[in-house]
Amino acid sequence: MDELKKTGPNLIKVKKENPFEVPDRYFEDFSARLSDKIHADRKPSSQSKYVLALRPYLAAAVILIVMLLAGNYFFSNYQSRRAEKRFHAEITQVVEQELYSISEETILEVFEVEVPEESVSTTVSSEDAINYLMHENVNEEELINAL
Amino acid sequence: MTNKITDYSDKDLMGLFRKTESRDYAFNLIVKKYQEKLYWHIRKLLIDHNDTDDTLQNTFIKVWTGLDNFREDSALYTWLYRIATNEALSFLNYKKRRFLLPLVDVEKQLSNTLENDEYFNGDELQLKLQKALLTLPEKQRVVFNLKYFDEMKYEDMAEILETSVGALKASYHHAVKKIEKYITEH
Repeated sequence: MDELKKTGPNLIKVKKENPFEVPDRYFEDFSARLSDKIHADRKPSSQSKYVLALRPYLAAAVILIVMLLAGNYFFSNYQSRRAEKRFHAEITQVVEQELYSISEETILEVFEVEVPEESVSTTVSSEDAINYLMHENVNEEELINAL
Repeated sequence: MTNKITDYSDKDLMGLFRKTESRDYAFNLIVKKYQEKLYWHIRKLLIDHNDTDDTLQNTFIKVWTGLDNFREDSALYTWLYRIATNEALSFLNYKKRRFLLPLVDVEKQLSNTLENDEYFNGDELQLKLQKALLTLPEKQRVVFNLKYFDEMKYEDMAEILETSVGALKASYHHAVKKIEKYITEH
């Protein structure tokens, strides 16, 4: 208490009485309400007794449904993959037939390109040549033998 | 002649509980013996009466389900207080998560509840003290309440909160200083 007078001189001025209240008869009724709640949680309802009895059959039904759904999923996946392969094969066949029907002349026409004269240069400056040779580490002897 | 609840020690109550024929009766006696103490302990943390009622019920339901396994290596009442404290702190955390409220907002909400609560009948200074308490970390608030209002021994508090006496003394000392500062400044 002495320590409290030193560290909390304003705190000790506050009344220590409980400032909170409860509704009328709260504590008188509490244990009865609690007991009802505990016993309600404990007692299985008549509905749940039936559920307990049917549980193994329900489990079997759920497993069967899951298996059927899984089977259906995988089977329809397999079917759609087969259909896809057939479709690709057909398309390939059609494309090949179309390509075969195109003549050589038509193909060559597509690849013939007129190149303007200015864009092609056949001359190389000596500086460029020297730089090239140095870059490729070509020595004089090799060059003379090649020429 | 019916014995008064106060005639039964905790040891007597546990003895009655362990017998099948007196189990429900013993539990009822435990509830009647401790309901008020635990209620006020929880209420000081949660402020709101309805929240406290829910938490108190949950506390005793846990007591009911756990009493068979209670090894009596601590006193019954410290075990009960520990359950009640944990339930109250869990409720505060649940409130934060459910309403996505950070810690500061929970305190603000509790402070507003205090001011508008029909079941709060304190004067201005008592209101200020309660608001000051809400600014403390939850566990420190528990320490202050148990020491200041319940005048509990540090050794018993150490069993409830599973922490050392030294740590509790330091926590209480700091709590007093913070509260004093709040009351002085507001």
